[in-house]
Amino acid sequence: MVDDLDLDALLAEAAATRLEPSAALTARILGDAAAVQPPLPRAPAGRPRYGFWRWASDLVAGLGGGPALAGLSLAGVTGLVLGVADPTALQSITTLIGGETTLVAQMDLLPATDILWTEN
Amino acid sequence: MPRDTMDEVSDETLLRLYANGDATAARLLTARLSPRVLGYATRLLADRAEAEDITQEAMMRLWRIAPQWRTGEAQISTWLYRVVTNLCSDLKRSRRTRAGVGLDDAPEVAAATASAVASLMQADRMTALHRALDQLPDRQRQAVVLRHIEGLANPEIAQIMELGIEAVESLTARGKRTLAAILAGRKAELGYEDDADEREAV
Repeated sequence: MVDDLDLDALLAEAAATRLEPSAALTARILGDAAAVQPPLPRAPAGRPRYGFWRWASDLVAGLGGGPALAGLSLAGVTGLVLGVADPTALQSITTLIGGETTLVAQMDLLPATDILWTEN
Repeated sequence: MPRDTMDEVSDETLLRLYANGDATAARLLTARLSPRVLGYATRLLADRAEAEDITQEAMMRLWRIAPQWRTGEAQISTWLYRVVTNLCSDLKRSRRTRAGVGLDDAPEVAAATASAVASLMQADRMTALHRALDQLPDRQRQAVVLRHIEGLANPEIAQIMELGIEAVESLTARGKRTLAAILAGRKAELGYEDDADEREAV
């Protein structure tokens, strides 16, 4: 019988011997890996836009996207309403703040330009 | 990521990267795992060509399971050893109806020694060892190879073979005794005759 020393030496020799896969085997393994590999996750691709819609899309993106555009629209509409609305509708508010009699002090900020507004 | 950094990345992380579509992860995992898988399969089958097919199949199973791999459940190397053990058992079972392994089928082992004579002797020793291993019962061969050649601890071998640790110890001990008995008549082939004579002379 081979004694323990010989057998252990033989097994240790086998353990130290690394079997390298051939280039062909490595290529087969990597080919399999590529064939079944899940694809990289990609952002959902939308339909390409051209002309006006592309311009509008770029404009919205430039303004900061949908929420920014909504805020901007609301501010614009509010300003328009305040400008067009009958001022008497605001009288209750001014009365509440300033009382029945409201003194309005006028100040000419640019007196030198008055000449530009006078006719003849 | 630089190569030296990737060397420190765990097998599990690389497998997750592979599952997420990273192309380099498969290359790194193959370089790390395929030599071990091939070595183990070769020692179980004593046939290089069949061992290469088993290696390809085991790695394919790894690629397929990658998206469902559950982190922390098992080590990838342990899982692979189990897959190879099962694939080799199935192959040997189907092979039993065919003729035994011929001398030409013995695996070629790359020699690491400098001298050509020493290389040939080492190759002869490895061939003799593989032939002897091939004569062991399947479970004894698996236990001996995993313990004494792959260098795994008994708890990991127990996981791979799906046995208790005591059963692994028993299989390993019996396998080694049987292996020693098989190799007893091949001392010259193993290159140990002279060493034994020298020991006796001393």
